[in-house]
Amino acid sequence: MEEEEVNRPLVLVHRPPNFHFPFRHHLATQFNLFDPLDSPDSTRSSLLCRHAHNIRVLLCVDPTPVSSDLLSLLPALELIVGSTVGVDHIDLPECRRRGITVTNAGVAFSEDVADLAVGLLIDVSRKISAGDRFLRASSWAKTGDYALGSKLGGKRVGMVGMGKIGSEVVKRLQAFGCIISYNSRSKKSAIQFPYYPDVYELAVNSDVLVVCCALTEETHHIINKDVMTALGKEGVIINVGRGALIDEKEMMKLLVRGEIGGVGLDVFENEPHMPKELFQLDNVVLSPHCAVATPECFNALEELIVFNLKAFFANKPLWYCDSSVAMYNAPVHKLGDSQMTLSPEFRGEPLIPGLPDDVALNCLLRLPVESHATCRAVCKRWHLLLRNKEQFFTHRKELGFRDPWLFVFATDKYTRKIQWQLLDLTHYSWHTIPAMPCMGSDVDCPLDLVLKYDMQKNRWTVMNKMITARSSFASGVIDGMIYVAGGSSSDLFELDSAEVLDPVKGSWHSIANMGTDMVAYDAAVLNGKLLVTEGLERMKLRVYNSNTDSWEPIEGPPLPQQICKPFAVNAGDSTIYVVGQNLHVAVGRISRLSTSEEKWSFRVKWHVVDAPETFSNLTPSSSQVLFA
Amino acid sequence: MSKLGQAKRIIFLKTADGQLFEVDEPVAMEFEIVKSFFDENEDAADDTVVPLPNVSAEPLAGIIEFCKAHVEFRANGAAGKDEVKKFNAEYIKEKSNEQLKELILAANYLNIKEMLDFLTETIANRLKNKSVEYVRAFFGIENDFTPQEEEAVRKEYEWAFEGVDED
Repeated sequence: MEEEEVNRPLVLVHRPPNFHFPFRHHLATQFNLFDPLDSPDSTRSSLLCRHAHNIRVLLCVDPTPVSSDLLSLLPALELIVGSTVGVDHIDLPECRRRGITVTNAGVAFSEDVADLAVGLLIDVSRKISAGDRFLRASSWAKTGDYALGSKLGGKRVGMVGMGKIGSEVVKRLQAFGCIISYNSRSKKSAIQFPYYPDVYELAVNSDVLVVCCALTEETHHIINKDVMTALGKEGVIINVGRGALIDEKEMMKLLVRGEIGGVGLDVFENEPHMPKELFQLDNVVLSPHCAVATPECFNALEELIVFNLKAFFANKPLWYCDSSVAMYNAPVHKLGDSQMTLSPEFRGEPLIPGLPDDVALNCLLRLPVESHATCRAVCKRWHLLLRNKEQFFTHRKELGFRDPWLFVFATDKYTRKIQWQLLDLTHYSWHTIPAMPCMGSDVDCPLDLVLKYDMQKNRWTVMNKMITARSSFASGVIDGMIYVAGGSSSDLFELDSAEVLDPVKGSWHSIANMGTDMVAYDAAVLNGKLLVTEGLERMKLRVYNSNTDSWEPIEGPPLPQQICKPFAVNAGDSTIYVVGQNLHVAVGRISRLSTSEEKWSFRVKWHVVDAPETFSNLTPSSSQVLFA
Repeated sequence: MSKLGQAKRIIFLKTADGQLFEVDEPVAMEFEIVKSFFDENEDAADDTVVPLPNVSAEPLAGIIEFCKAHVEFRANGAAGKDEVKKFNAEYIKEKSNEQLKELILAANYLNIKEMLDFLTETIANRLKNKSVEYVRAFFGIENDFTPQEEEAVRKEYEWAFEGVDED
């Protein structure tokens, strides 16, 4: 061995004969690659024995078998860096016993594999390859019309395996309008699609099965005769996992008899061989195990392997290591999965250097809206993310954020113009949203118009009209239903009536009267009860119980003095928000003292949020807490 | 086996830099990745060492401290109270931005939602009312705008650059 080589960390290369991986040369500049296949056959095992005690890392190129025999030759082995998604060629129980970490390359490959899976599905459904053959055989002129294809949108797609590849497939198929459900070893709490613990049940409820799970003893022939029969005559199977996930013999019988609709296969049980009958069938699309064969994919793989090798020798955390692969062969998918995937895509800068993009996004989506303007100027990707509120809130929704925002409906006392102001209840900062369309400038004009503001779209839409036109009324939301009560009617009479809107159906109906006419009410919902207050005079409180459809009077605590009349009140999560003149807000954390259903008593701790001076002309008339 | 005689179960965790941690079971179960390991390996021996090849010892120690306190808060019915807020504020006060990032990476890998939410919220809060230059330096972000582009972006939102904190 040359002097220089000794200083570089030793990596054992384990590869198929006659296969030289594309980035070997580059790796060799950073690591001392020890490849027994470079030496003559006769000297290999003695050479391996001589170096064995120094070998801590094995680089497994392609699915080259790593048997317990090989492992027993390597007493110092600590890490196997795999270059494939599946690791069924590695003796995992033995690795587990020895405490050897195994990394796979799923993160580098998943997007390309998902692309091919979707491609195969479109091809089988729309008969693209078959149509191509039809034309090349000059059949159009001879036989005329070509068979009908089948639409992708609306298909029920059952995912067999919901790891990184599975989620990438789902991301794509959702855009086509497919209906997703899945099967995997265990239900994944982060995934909201229906879960079937049994593949058979999944097949019964699906039009398409996309097979992309790992091949293990349990998943061998997971797609058997029963599953395929359950999928039915129109059913389509796409396999981008491993050949042996499907019982190929049974599949052939069913295909020949026309008992399944079609298949798209990138993998086969006995590669590179496959049943010849496949070639005769037009409802079959074949691809030579090439789902990962793109230059982008190889670049990402190289990046991943180099990173993990370097990290290992530097005693640093591995970028991507599924410890579950090493430990018990069950892919557990984590938030950090996209650590590598984004890098080949945006070879440029990450959102925040040193953090995976999904985590960085998790930080940036918590930025108070008032900081957006500054942060937009930080760099191009931040500018893209924080460019507008629509995008910001859409991203928040995608990541499942649900923080409270207090919507305050206010009137300018000089111009009488109405506007909405939003208080971010996490950071207590204010921002505005677009003005409502078509509302008169006068707040005293009763209307029966109802508008819907969509935080994600940052725009208003018109909903069904109320039964009675009202102004200065109270409203609140209980279990997704919008309740309105009191206010002034068109002929300026005070109202004692109340009604409820089902926002999904868009219909209004009346509920019990309050018993007293009250104007300029406002309402708050607390623990499923609608609290209604007299806004202009003294603090008069009534509570509506939606279970019994009845109103009860209630005692309330005094407000801090800064909060001047009139108020707009709202509540959520044991907290009451009272918006006063000039939009000063009192935030009260409420604890219920009495447990009795009829009588409530509160202990309240108030905290005042001052409004900016620009709000000094504003009088609140209503407020709402929404989550976005 | 009598319940009284049962010793507290200890979970063994091994970090990327080879350190072995002994953690009380309820604290270790805060880590989703450790929990699912034992959920799926019900027959795992009591002295099984769970390897955490993506986490180093320093952040793990910090995470254990945080989770231990929160497990206790929950047991005492103090969850959501001022006591917790006070603890969180004290906990994070002395942490540098680099330490914060390491904690985030580790909490993300271990999949501890409550802690990750708290840490990411902390990052967002540390950026409140800060200048563009501060934010760039804070994260080590390279300014990839051309001077003309940057001027245009800043002009668009000029008012926002008033009233920022001194760095």
